[in-house]
Amino acid sequence: MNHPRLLMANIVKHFGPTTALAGVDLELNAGEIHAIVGENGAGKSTLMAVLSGAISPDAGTMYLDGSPYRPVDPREARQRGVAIVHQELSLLPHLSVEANVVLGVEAHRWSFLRHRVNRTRVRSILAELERSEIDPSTPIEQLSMADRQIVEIARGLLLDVKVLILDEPTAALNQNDVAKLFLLMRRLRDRGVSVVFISHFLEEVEAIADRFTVLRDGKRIISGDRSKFSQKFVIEQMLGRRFDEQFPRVAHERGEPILHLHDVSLFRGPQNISLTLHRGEILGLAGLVGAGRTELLRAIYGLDLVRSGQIQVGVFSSAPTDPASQIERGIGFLSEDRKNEGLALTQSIQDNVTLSRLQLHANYGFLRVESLRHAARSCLSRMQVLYRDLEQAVGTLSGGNQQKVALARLMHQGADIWLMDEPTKGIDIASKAEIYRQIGELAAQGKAILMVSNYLPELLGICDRIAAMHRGRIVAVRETKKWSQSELLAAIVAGTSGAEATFTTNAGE
Amino acid sequence: MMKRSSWLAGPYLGLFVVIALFVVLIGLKGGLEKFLSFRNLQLIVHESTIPGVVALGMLLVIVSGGIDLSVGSVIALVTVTTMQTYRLMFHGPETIPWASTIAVSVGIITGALCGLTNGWVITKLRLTPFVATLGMFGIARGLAVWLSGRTLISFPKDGTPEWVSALARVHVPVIQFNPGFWSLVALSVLTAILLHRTILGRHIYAIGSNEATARLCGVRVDRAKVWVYTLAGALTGWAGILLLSQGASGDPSAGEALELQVIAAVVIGGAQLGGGRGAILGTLTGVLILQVLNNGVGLFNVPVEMQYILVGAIIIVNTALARWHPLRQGVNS
Repeated sequence: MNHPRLLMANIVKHFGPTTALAGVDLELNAGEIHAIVGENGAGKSTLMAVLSGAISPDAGTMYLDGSPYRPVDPREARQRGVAIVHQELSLLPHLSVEANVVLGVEAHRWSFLRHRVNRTRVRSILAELERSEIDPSTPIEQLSMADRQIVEIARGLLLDVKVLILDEPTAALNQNDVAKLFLLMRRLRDRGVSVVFISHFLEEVEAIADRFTVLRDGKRIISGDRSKFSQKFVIEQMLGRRFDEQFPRVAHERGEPILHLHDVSLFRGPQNISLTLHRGEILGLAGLVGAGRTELLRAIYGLDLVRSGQIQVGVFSSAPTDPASQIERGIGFLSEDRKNEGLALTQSIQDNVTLSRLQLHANYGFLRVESLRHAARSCLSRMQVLYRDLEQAVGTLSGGNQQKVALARLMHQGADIWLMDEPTKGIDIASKAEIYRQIGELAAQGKAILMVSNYLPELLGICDRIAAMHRGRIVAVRETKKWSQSELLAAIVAGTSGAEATFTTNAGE
Repeated sequence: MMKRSSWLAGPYLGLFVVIALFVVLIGLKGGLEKFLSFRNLQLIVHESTIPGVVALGMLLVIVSGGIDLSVGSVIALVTVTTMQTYRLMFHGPETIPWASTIAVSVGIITGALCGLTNGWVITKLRLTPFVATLGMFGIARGLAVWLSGRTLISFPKDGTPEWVSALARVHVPVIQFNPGFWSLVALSVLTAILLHRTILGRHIYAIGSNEATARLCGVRVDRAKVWVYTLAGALTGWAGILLLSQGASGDPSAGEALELQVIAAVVIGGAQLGGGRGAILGTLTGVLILQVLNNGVGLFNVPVEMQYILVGAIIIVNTALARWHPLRQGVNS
């Protein structure tokens, strides 16, 4: 008897006319970390939804430890030992850690909660995860993103788990927490759990996975031992074509300064920030989550209040009041939170692209509909967005295309200064490369770009200069070629600027 | 455009169902020719006018993601301020035109000021629209009762203006329907233009759909909201003038539960209470559904308790119908 832990055979799933899964096979062994990679729309999420009982397949069979497995709902899957930790954390923010972990499988007697039993169960799981300092009575909203992830995993482990699916678990974590998560994944693997790991970051896949499976267009392309294949090979399997460059560069030249920050402090986060951004320059802001990078961008855009210091945009030196006035000064902002803030998902693509500059298409407040359509179309085609029609709701597009719509809006706005918070968050490799190229194009046209990213290879790959932030202060600003990845990491994690720091902007002088 | 009208199929279908229901019920019982007569249509249209005008304002508010619970109280306050102003300005038959102009203006301004206050409270004090307009619900009603001296106030002797009786007439020659109804038609067209062809309209949809995104895109959210509530208030003001004409009095107890009726009409018409979705034709259809319903149960002579149950059930069924539209599908990859 040598069954794989889990066997999926010829899984098919259609959504209306779309084929999401066209007969996928997958084997998972006990005690392995198995990475599933593929572009957006390749079918990873659908496959995991089938596995975790959220959707039922149109055809195909599954076996768990050799016995037929066909969960009717996530609850049954959980009871059989298959748990999923979602990409968008699915916790209830007002409820306690305990309530979230035991939700749906609460210990009870005649429907009355057995409080002490539940609490003990949760405590022991947290102890097992070596995070017993998390108090089970804390409301979720008071926890950091990393701790929330732990709670999600605890929920997965509450019932005896055989297969644990982690869907993009690192997207919201900083490097430190990612390292901790990896440690935890290895421990679970060593206990015999099959850990399924979905990630867009191939570096992470390379670091942690034992085996991997590539999906493309709803089909399995290849499965194998991670160590036997190169990263480039994996990328090309994902794309189904040759892949030249991860970070395409477009030649551009630094022009005159356009944005000055003089000793800017906010009420929370960034303190004493001085920085100059030039036309034709891509300036990266590196830092851990919570270092104050996002807050700084938001303050420049007039979304957060500035306590002291000066933000000078071109010739304007008065303090930013609101986004409307900053837009008039030529600033555009790309939010990292595409779902809740960046886009109005239920509105049409056209409205989302044109909303920030409707005046262009209006006489005395009355809109010229044709002109709107035309402008939207041309911006969308420049960003190479795939869409059916302009009236389509933005929420129906894939993540990568949504991100391009958000970028198309800044293009339509005609901003001179592009503040970009995580411009490639949650999108696949080919789209990323395309966005890097677009950013290069913008710099070549003399736009100034200030971008924030958690993904250091991206900053090192496309920025001209990188500013490292640590706990609200800028540790150092250097030309990219003068940063090594380890120095940059040291600067953002520990706040050390390294020996050869050329010009540092020191805090609080 | 095809896609826009297909989700409107909900309310249209609802109206058709309601009419068909009564045609069958009344047909079985006899008296169908009365239900389907032109005179009855004139009556339905006449009774739809006031909720229709208020619903236009409510639509703006709901599309922007808000709610206005104060319209019933505000409409009563408008009838009272208008009538009191008229009585103050009236000094004999020759002063009627002048007194009318001032009184009507005061009425509309009263409505607009109530809306403006709602808008300010919502944007400056950062209260939710529900709470802010619940406050106005009480305040406006209180003001109406106070300013009227706790009674119904009527026109001075020999001082009822011509336009008041014209607006109160149900069966009208030549123009077929009451002028108030034609004002509703005109205001509907204007509101539709506002919503679909102006920057403000686009901003209203954007705010209702996702306020954070709208702010990010440089929409001056607070300013737009103040406009929405003020316009809604002004529309309620005009509805108050129509109400004053229909009753020929300033009535501090008028318009009770109007807000619920109007919100129901807007929702039946396919608007989403969370904001971002809703259109004029649907809203007007929603108003019409409710009025046909009232008219039908009246003619069918059902007992009053059955009327309540029937109206409640049809609101639920119709809203469900309005929600029913082919799901927007298809994910690009």
